[in-house]
Order: sequence, then C-alpha cells, then structure tokens
Amino acid sequence: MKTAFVRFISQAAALAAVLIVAANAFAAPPAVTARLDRADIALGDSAKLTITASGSGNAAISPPVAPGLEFVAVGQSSQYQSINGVVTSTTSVTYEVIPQRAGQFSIQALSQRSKPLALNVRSGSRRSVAAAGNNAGPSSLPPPATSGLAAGDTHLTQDGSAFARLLLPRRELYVGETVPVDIQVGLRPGLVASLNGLPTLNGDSFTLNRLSSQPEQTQATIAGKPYTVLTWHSVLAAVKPGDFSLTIETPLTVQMRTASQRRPRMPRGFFDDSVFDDPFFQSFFGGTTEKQITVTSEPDALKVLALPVAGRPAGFSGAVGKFEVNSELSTTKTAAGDPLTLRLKVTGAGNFDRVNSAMLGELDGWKTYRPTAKFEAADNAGYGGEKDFEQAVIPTQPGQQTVPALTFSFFNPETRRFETKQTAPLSVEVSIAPAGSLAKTAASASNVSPAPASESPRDGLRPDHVETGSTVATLRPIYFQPWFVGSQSVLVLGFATGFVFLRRRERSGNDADGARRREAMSAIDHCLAEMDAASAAGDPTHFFQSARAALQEKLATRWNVAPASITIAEIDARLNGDGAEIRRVFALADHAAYSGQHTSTADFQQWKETVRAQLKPTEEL
Amino acid sequence: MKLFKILTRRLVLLAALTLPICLVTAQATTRAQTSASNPATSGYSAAALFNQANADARKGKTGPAILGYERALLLAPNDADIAANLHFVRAKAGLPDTPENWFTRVLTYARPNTLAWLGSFGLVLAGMSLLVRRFYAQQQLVFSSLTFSGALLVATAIGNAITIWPRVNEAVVISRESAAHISPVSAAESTFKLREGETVTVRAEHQDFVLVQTSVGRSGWVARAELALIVPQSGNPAPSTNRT
Repeated sequence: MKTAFVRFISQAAALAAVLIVAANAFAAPPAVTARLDRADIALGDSAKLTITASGSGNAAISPPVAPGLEFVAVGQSSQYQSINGVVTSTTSVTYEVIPQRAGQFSIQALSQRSKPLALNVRSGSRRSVAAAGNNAGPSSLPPPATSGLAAGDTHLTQDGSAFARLLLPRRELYVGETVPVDIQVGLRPGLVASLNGLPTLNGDSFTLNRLSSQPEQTQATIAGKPYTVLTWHSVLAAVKPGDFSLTIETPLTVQMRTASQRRPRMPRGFFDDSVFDDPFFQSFFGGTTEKQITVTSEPDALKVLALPVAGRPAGFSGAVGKFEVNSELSTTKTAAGDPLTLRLKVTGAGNFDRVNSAMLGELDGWKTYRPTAKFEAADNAGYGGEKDFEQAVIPTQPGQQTVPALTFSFFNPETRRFETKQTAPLSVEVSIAPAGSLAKTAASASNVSPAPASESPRDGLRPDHVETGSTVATLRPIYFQPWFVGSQSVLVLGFATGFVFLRRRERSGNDADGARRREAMSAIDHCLAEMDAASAAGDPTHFFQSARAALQEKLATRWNVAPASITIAEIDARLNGDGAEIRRVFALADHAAYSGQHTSTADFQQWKETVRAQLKPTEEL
Repeated sequence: MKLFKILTRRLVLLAALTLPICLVTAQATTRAQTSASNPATSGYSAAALFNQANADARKGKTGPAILGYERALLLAPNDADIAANLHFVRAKAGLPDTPENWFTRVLTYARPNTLAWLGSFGLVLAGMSLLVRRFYAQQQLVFSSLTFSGALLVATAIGNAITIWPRVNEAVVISRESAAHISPVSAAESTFKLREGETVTVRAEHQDFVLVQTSVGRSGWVARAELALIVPQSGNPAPSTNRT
C-alpha cells in the first residue's frame, strides 16, 4: 500500500513538473518597464531609476548603458504569484542614476513596449521640485495658513532633505507698516536630524518680530516625498524705503549616507526606496553621517515705499494699518469733582506700537490726568488687536458737560491715504458736588498736564521710526571732509585778503603827506625822463625847463608849498644863500627860454649830473 | 578815485549778497546729489539705523545694536528715542554709559552737518560785515552785531567739530567675545577681554589689527573684524546683518 502511494506521488510530481515546464515553455516573455523619479536634476544630484520586469519568465534585469550616467543598484524587490499553476514573477531593481556631466541624456528603451527616458542634468546646484515620468506629481504642499497669502517658491536643499519658504501677503509695503507673514520650513523625516535655530531674515532692511519658538506642525508631500512642515506666524516690518530682495534661512543638521553606503555595488535585496530611507535602517547599517547645512528660501522681491508727505495729519504718530476708534465714559451721571474714566479703544491691525493718542488736553470745565495705554493682541504675532487708552477726567462744573470728540490719525496702506478717525462727543450730566470735594479734587489734579498716553514697551525699547527722513552718503561729518575744509579755507583766505586790501587802501588814503611825496617822486621821475629826451634831441630850452620843474617838485615837497611858488627869490630866502647850483639851473632855464642858447652834448651830461645830485636827497623826502 | 571807491563798494555788496546764495545753493546741490545717488536704498538715515538697531537689540545682538544707535545719534543727536534705547541696551548689557555734561549736550544739540553749514554761513556773515562796515561808518553797531553773530556761529561749529572729533576714531566691539593682544598677531598673548558692545578708541592700525584704548585706559591690539568704526572710513552703508 505504501509502495503504491509513493508511486502515485512520484507520478503526480512528474506530471506537475512536466506541466510547469510546458507552461514555462509557452509563457510570454517578461514585460520590462522603466521609470525615472525626475527628469530634471542638477549636476551633483542623483535620480532614481526603477526597472520592473514582470511575467512568467525569468526576469534578468541588467542596468542600462548611457554614456555620462552611472547606474548604481540600490535595491531590489521580487514578487511571485501562482495562479492555476502559472507562476508570475515581478522583479524591480532600483538604480541610483549619478550624472558625470551636465547635459541632455537619453536612457535607451529596455523593451519593445517601453519608451526611452530623457534626463536633463543642469550645471546649477538647485534641485527641481517637479518630477517627471509617471512617478511624481506637482507639489502637494497645503496652501498657506493665512488666507490670501501668495505662495512662494519651494526651494529644496540639494539633497532634498528640507526646504524653506516665506509667504508674504503682498510685494509692496510702506515704511513702518507691519504685515503678517508665514515662514515654512519643511523637513524630510529621517534625513533631517535636528533644527538648529529659528528662521532668520537675510537682509538688513526688514525686521521680523514676535517669532514664536513653537511653530505649527503639519505634514505635506512634495514630489512624492513626505515632509514635516513647521510654520511660524510672524510680523514683518520694513525699516527703510527701496527695492529689496528678501530670503529666510534656517540652520539644520542632516543625516547623509556615507559614500561607501550610498553607492552599493550590489542589490540590497527586498528593501524598496522608502524603506531604505528609513533612519532605522540607516542607523542599522551604520552608514550615515551628520552635516550642518542652511536651508534658504527663494528670494522674494519687495518694494518698500516711504510714507507720503502730502496730506499728513498734524496728529499723525506713525501708525500704519487699518484701525477703528470709539470712546466711552465710565458713567453718564456724576457729581462735580468725582473722577470719571474716559476710554478710547483703537482696534484693527497694524503697527500698534506706534498707536498713541493725546487724548484730552486742556479743556474748560474738566481736569485731566495723564492717560495710560494697554494693548491686547488678537493673535500670536501681535498684528491685530485692541489698544485701550484710559484717562481719568474730572468735571469741575455742574450741568450738562460734553467730552469732545477724540481723533486718531493713521496711514491706511490699502487706500494709500492718511485717515483720521473720530469718536462721537460724549455727554455727561454733572450734579453739584458735595461741599469740599471739588476743592480737594481740583487741588489734587492741578498739576496734571496732558501728555500722550504712556505704555511701557514690552521689550523695553522705544518703537521703530516710520519717517525715514533724508539720507546721507557718509556718516563722516562734513567738518572732516576735504572739500568742506578747502572751501572754508578759501573763504577765510578771501576775507583776509579783502580785509588787508581795504585796510591798506584806508591807510594810504589817510596819509596826505605820503601821497604828496609819492606824487612828487612820480613828477620828478617824469621830468628826468624829459631831460633825457631833450638832451638827446639837443633841445636846451626843454632840457632846462624840465630840470627846473624837477627841482621845483623836490623843493616844494620839502617845504610843503606849491611847486609853482618855488622861484629864485624863494630859494634865496629859504636856503640863506646856499643852493647855487639850483639857482643856476633856474637861471639857465629862463635864459634858454628867451635866448635860444645852444648847449653842447657834454654840457647836457654835466647838467644832468648836477640836477641828479641835487635831487638825490629826494628819497629822503 | 571816487569812481574806484564806488565800484569797490558795489563789488563788496554784491559779494555779500552772492556768497550766502552760493553757500545755500552748494548745500542744496550736495543734498540733491545725495538724494539722486542714494534714493532710498543706500546711504544712511537716522530712522533706518535706529530701526535696524532695534531689530538687533531684540535679537540680542548687543554690539550691532549699539553700533546702530551710535551711528543714528550722529545723524540725529537730539533724538530722545535713540538715546533712550542706547542707554537701555547698554544698561541691559552692563556696559558703562557715561552721561554727557551740559556743555557737550549744547554743542551737540543739532546735527553736525547742519552746524557745519551754519558755521559756514557765520563765517560769510562775519567776513562780509567786517568788509562792508568800512564803507558805512555810521552803522557800526549793526555791523558789529552781525560780526558777533557770525563769529558765534563759527565758534559753535568749531566747538561741535572738536566735540565730535573723538567719535570719528571710536569703534564698537561687535563680536561676542574679543581679546586684546599685546601685539598685532593672533598668537600674541592676550591681555584683557573686550565685551560685546563696548566702545573703544582706535589709536593705530596694523594689517588686520587695530590698537584700541578702552574707557578705563587699557590698550591692546584687537582683530579688525571684531570691531566696527562708528564712522566708517568709506561711504558704504553698514554691513548687513541677519535680522529676526
């Protein structure tokens, strides 16, 4: 019995083997498909090629050949199905495609039914988000949490481990305006080990305030990869006008596979790609290393405008945003001398640190105290909220009293205009005060001066300024700039020269004797020149007349008389018989004029020397 | 002679009228050039420096914050907000904050450039009144007053220049920790530490090091990168810093 049973089993097994062999003999050849996870990568990056062979035949998968591309097997999976004795197997091998150079590559078709695959390798380092082929779709990152925010570009790190992006409500701001922004940092689980700091702005023209240390955490999928997205809600403020480019960056620690582990030359068995990326396996195989990187967002162009000067209200304190105001009194019936509380509520959204109100100033019939202010934010970022101003006011006169309207001015960036909001006047019925209370209250309130509402800033710093004012090219005062020093030196020199010139002129104008002497010297010089000319021409008349004139000038200057008054008689009288040569010249001049006497050249020379000798003391004049 | 005197008098009067106009025009031209070349994105503005310093202070960057406030004070010395925040940040960091005496406050009440132009105007006023008074002997009192006013303006400007001159050579420590060495090499022995935000006076420079003197008189060589001059030597805007 046992022998028969064994024989039956052997025959059944032989029949099954024959059937299997026959089925295999008539089975269709395996179908081979290939797909790339991305069609566009940067040089230094890698793509993943998955080749799948399915069918009843043996699937022998070998990597494709493409010059310039290196294919490294990183994983393999297999599936077997047996239906009615027909065994179907599906084998997938995943290769890491590492480009050796930039350019357009084509990976050949692996079967008649498959198509060639195209891969574009760029020389830049930026990694594209959009995937190619039938593997990936567009980014599935959820829209920004803040309604109406424009989506910024998602800028992945080179290894795809993280991204950062800044979501802005608009691209045009005003100086001092605060706008809510969302900062998102996406982290690839398993690849990012830690976040090493809060996001920071790159650019010195903006400030990012009230950045919480506890961001919102959501999950998102980009290019088929899961990311944990951290979202910070904050407020961005512009410091100065101009066109700027704004980015954010965040320091991270990422885990990277080491080179030996990253490029295994042998298939890794049944681990598919997603499992392979699991940190447990990375740690298990011990082939990871940590690296500090910084993920940076795409640059956002922003235009910051200065607040307009035209139409600026007198009470504008720098508030930019959209606000509403209303006021109320603590009671509508009181007695004179009893304090009331006047409240002004400013609600809305904007830079509340610049929201202030002068409240009530000097007002007949009222005593006023210094107001206080308190702000309650409606959101974590402090963009919206309510600021309450409270002021103690005391009616001093009985009767129907009115608290006048309170005004608050701000710049509305939506309408691009200054707006002034006004509260309604408030009426209060004031009864007669009990005896003594009014005088006491008035005395206590007498030293109160109206002043802007005080609010101690939360960080101890006074708020930013919204009016940028004029700019200067350099901080060095112009005192110490060469052009200024030079121009002032020229001015000083010019004034000094003018002063000296005028002083000299004045001195010369006041010195009559000196002027006369200078005129006499000039006349004598002229006469001497005429003597020379006359001697050259042989004209004795002119010669002696010039000589006499020269001597007259000299003596007239010495005696302080007119030259014409110098005669031989005058000479005799003043020189007491001296000056014979002078008298001789005078006599010869008369003689030559009337006698026409001829004088030789030698005589001219002699007389010239005689006259010059007499004139020599002229310098002493 | 008389004609010459008349001509001279007219010339001096013409110069007296023309020079102030030239000065005002020169100032306006300078400002216009500044605005044209630095519309808004470049150059220094007191408000922008103040806002930037506020952002640095909020981030805990004491050095850059104090540097920003100091620079803002140069442009707006009478701004109470700037002075208050500077004192606050210094006090918070435990840095010394020497109060200014009344004379210094008076001399630095207005912007240095404004006082410089006023001094220049005063120079013209004094100079011209000294010249013109010689032709109007009967109005000596008027011209003496003008001369005195001009001289006062010049003296104020000179006083302001002398007061702020030391700040041209002052620098703020912007690194978290800075060591002063006995010689201008990294390997030299460290003599003392400088705190972030401390203001020092630069006495000399040697390659990548500067010789500084602290407010208590200690001197040492510090790496140039760890300091920032309050008045930059070039006209470039302040180096950008990350802001949050």
